[in-house]
Amino acid sequence: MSLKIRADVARVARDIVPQWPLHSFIAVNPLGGREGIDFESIRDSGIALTRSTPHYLADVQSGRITRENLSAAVIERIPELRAHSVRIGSRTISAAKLIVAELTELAPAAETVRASQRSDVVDEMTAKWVASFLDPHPLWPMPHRRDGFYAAWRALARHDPAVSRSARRAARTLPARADDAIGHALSELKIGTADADAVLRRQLAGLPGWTAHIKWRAEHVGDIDVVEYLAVRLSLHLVLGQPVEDATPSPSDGDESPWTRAIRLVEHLHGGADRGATASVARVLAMHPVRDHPFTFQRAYELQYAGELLRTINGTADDADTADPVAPRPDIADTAGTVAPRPGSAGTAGTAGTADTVAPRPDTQLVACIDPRSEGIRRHLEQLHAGIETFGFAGFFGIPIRFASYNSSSAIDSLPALLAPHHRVTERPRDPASAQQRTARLGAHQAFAAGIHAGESTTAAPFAFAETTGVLFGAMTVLRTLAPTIAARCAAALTSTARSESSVTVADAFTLDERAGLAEAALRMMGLSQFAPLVIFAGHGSTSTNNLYESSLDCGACGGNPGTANARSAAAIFNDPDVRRLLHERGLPIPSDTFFLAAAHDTVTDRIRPLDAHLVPPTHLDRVERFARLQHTASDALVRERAHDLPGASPRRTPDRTRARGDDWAEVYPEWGLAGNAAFIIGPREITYGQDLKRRVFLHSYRPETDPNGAGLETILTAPVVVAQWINHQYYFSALNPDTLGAGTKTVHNAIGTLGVLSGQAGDLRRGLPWQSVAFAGRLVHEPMRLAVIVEAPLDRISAIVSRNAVLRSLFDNNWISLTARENSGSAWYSYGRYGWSPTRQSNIPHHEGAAQ
Amino acid sequence: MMWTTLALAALIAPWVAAGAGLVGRHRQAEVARAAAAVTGLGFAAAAGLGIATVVSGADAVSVGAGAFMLTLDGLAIVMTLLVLGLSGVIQSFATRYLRGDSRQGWFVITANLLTASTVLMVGAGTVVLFTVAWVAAGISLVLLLNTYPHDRQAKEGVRRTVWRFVVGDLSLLAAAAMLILAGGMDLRLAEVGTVLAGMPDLLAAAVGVLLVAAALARSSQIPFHGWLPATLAAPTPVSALMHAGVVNAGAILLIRFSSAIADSTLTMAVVFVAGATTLVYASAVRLIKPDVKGRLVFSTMAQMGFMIMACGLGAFAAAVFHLVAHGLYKSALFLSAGTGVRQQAARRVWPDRPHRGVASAVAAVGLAVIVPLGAVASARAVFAPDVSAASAALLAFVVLAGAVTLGSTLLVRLSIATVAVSFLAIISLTLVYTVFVVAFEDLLGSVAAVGAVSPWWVLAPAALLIITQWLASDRIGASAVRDVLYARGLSAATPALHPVKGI
Repeated sequence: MSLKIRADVARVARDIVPQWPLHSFIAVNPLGGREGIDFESIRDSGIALTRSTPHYLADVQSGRITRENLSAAVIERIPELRAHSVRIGSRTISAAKLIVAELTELAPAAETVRASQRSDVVDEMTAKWVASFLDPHPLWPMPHRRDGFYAAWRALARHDPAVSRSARRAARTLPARADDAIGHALSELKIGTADADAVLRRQLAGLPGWTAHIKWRAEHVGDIDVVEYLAVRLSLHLVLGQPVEDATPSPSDGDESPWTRAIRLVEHLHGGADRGATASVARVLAMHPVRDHPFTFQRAYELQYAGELLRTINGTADDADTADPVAPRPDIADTAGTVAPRPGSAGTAGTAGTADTVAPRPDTQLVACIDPRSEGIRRHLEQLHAGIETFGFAGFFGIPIRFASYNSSSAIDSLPALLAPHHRVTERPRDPASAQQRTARLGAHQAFAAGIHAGESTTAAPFAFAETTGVLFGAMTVLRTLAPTIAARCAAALTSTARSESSVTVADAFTLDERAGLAEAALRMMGLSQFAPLVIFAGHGSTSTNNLYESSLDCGACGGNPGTANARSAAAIFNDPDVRRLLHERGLPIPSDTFFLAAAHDTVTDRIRPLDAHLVPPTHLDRVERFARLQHTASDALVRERAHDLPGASPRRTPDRTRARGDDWAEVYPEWGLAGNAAFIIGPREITYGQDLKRRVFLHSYRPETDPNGAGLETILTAPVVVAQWINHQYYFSALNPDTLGAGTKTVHNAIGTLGVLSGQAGDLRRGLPWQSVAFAGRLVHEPMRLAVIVEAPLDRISAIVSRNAVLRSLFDNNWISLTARENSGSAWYSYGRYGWSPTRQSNIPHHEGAAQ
Repeated sequence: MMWTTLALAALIAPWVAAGAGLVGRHRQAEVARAAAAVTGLGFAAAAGLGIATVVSGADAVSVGAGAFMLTLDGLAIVMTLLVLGLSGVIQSFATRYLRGDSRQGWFVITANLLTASTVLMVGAGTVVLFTVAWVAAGISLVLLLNTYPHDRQAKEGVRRTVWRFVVGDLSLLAAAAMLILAGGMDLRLAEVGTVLAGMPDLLAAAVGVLLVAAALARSSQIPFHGWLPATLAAPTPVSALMHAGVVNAGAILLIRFSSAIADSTLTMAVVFVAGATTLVYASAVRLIKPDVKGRLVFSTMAQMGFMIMACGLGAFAAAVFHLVAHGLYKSALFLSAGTGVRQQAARRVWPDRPHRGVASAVAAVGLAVIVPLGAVASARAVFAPDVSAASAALLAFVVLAGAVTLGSTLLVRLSIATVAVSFLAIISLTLVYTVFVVAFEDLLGSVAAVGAVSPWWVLAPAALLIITQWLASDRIGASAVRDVLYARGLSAATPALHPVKGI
């Protein structure tokens, strides 16, 4: 019995995407469990997959979506209509045009998704119990907590004054074990085996935030699982006499019939009735039901952006006759030379596709995270100095570690969520005495914090504690509000611990072979083969104050942590002479005068600060100093650029004023994070060099030449692209569903330790990103678009990788993200579809049938 | 005259700010900044008035006449400074925190209405003006809580608050009506005692109890405690303002009407018992709350219980000092309610706790008892040698807080650095505290509290607090009691949105 119940629960819970705690915020696609089915076929009540039609119509008005984009979207979605046209009166109108006319000129009434604030008494009670059970730092731990959630609830529910006496009595007769309780409740509630799955599913949908967190917790902590949770829920139903039937009706398809739509459309276009035309128009419209209208708009919205982006990519043919739908796929080798490849830029690693030409050695190379925010600093650095070459690579630099700073009690898992931490790295101090001193100071902080905590939280102490410290708190409030920068400096001075110099123990965590393997993989993946004298690994993090979502602004490839430990580890590995010797043997020689420097990029201030500066050899001090000056100028320019769209900032103010918002405890918009992210470009930097991508694009460096067997590309597509896809959909759904899949406004957030937030005093754990991450003043700042993955690599190689990896097939075939590729600079773009590659329609090119009107 | 000008400036500033909010609804951000600045100017005026009063040694400044007479005495000026100062700072915080929020304008208007009516209330010299300002403050608070009117939890919070405020305000209106009938429209607050003396005993007792009911409702005390925990669906600055400057109005009422309350043993006993019960109840429930703001709510409730309890002891000056210090303390904690994740991250670099030997534990506990006791005793001996019994009872709490804080610090790490820093902190905090308390006693003058309960009564809530702490510490024993109390606490901790049914 109980095994069967566990299996049933596991089956219904399979699609639930785990939700990570706030302190290591991992972006997830909240609908990730459904990636196996088509994006458009998801019909969850209360969840919007697109914006509503009026928004798209406004975009058509403003030119953000063109009619050409719409026709392209129609043809992409319904390829059968490509060559189809209809006669109305004396005019011949293409089918795509007809549909576009209906979309833009008739504006059929589309249903709007309204998030219901539905919750029932069982939701309310379960939320209360589960929150107190999971409280990470309880002042009064729940009695019987050790016995598990269900057992603790069962022991206490018989005393719960919130329910009636009879319910309390009923609670005494419940089975002792959670799985028995589920079976007991199902049978007492008269639910047959046939309905059990549906009932369990609905129970899990009741508090989706808590359910998702419990799923994470079961995998990572193990003190609660979905079975325990369902046992409490169903038992509550039982003792409260609440039926488990779901009252909400399934959303009905209120589609207008194609015939009535056709009559209206014909009348609109023709000015009168035309029965013959109406029939053929109806046949066309039937292929595009009203329910699909927002999806067509959404696709057009994405195609417009993708088209603009492709045009900015260097080496894209201007007069792209590739839009010709009947042209067969040309032989790549023939077309490669037809369009003159654009020079990448002066001074960088030469032009695309001509690896054999000798390019001048760059002065400094910067390896930054693929994060769209890196695009800004890379662009400004390159603009400033031609000798700087930049690369994009996953922000953990390929070094998956669990990191603990010297002598500390706990560690962070600084690696992508896809990997498990197997390698523990810590710090080895250069000067043991100063490290000891630092430990002592940290120990004193710890003791004072314990004292203050006791003063605040012991039952009898807080009264006089508030009286004696109130004036200090008041002074702090005034200072932090009116002079945040000074307040931050004071706090830093009070808690300073005089960082002692150290190095990371990466050589203890990985064998030499492992280190060389990681280094080789990284170099091959990002196509780094010619080394500058100074190579900088810049891990990124974000510093803000009073921000529960700070971790969501940190590096996604480092488990929602700043990537500093990984940058330090990577630099240590590449500076290791033994590793270099092995790399040389494997055909990747690193010049002896090349030094790898770790650095930290703060995305609020956009400063790049060197780490482990004491390791810089005297020969490289000048270069490091030069880079420090360059980044200073580049950072100022970038901060001014960002100030244009940061609420409350102004490009006219000094950049330091904008940077100061990181210290401001009242600031809810410390930075825009990855808002706006829309595309992922895999290819050498030359193809985007000099272009302003507006910090919206993930950039992964890649050169097919250095990755002969395609293993690097396979890793890029299956790891960084997948992580970027999670981030993209986190933003997408948080923007479209602030009440259900997003976390709503920060102003009412109420944290439960570091586990998550509630909105207000009670309810479900919030999922996703807060409204302040995606919108300002009621207007979306994040344009919700599914990620456009753009690759420059041999198409056959890409095809082989996609067909080998089920995860990629799901994502691309089911329209969760899209894939566009070209062989090399100058050749034509191809779009990946379920049935293979087809030439990318350049939506800026007016269609030939457009002349018919 | 300069004094009147300053007083008027302080009084009028928040009304101007509220008016600006109303006029400039379409330029929310600019208006919010202007309103915060105007409130700040009001604070400056009040500070000027305060300095002038101290320098000249005057008792009070009077503004207005008849029923609408304001008497800005020491208490009024201190409270005006607190309310305008906190309101200005919190509004400045909100100019950024609520940036882009469609309800920012609403916040500016209602927060300033609340500030304005609270300033009017603390300065009111007559029963009529106090009552009008009190009701206005209640209405403004309800409007402020309605910042997000479509939110289900906010609606529930407003509903609960309105219901309890109606009961409390009707009590005040009834008491005020009786007093006005007996003493006339322009009855001064200072003359309430004389008027009551001429009233039949039963009626006078009724007035006292009605006034206490009004105070308890506004300060979220048992039996009117159900509203405060339901108010978290309003934005953080609303909570900060409310917890710093509204919920403590109960003590202001008790002090302003002390001549109607302090002479009756029964009324003072009701005040003490309500405060002490809320203190224990809220302290216990707070231990069960998992959410940061929920803990703050119940902490406020307990602190207000402490303040009301002090009133019952007749220690009105101590109550006012508690009110001011707690306002500063709690607003800071609300505004920084988003720092939990950062604090957790900072803890990661801490070393493991060192093993604690028996000798160091004994030393830590010994020092934890001796140092605060010595600091409090000597500070008191230097600044105010004659300590009343009620003050001594409250000072015991100071010693307790010092002992808990110091003991917990030294038990984690007993080193020269921790000992030196924490001794210094405790001694200087105790000194500052004593100086402030003595200053407040001077400022308010002593209110003769004939009916005050015996300070020994404090032992009851203190003992219950310690028992609660023991139950919460998850030791063996008393398992059945613990289960019952935990289940009851949990059910009290979260305001229900749904009526719960049973089979």
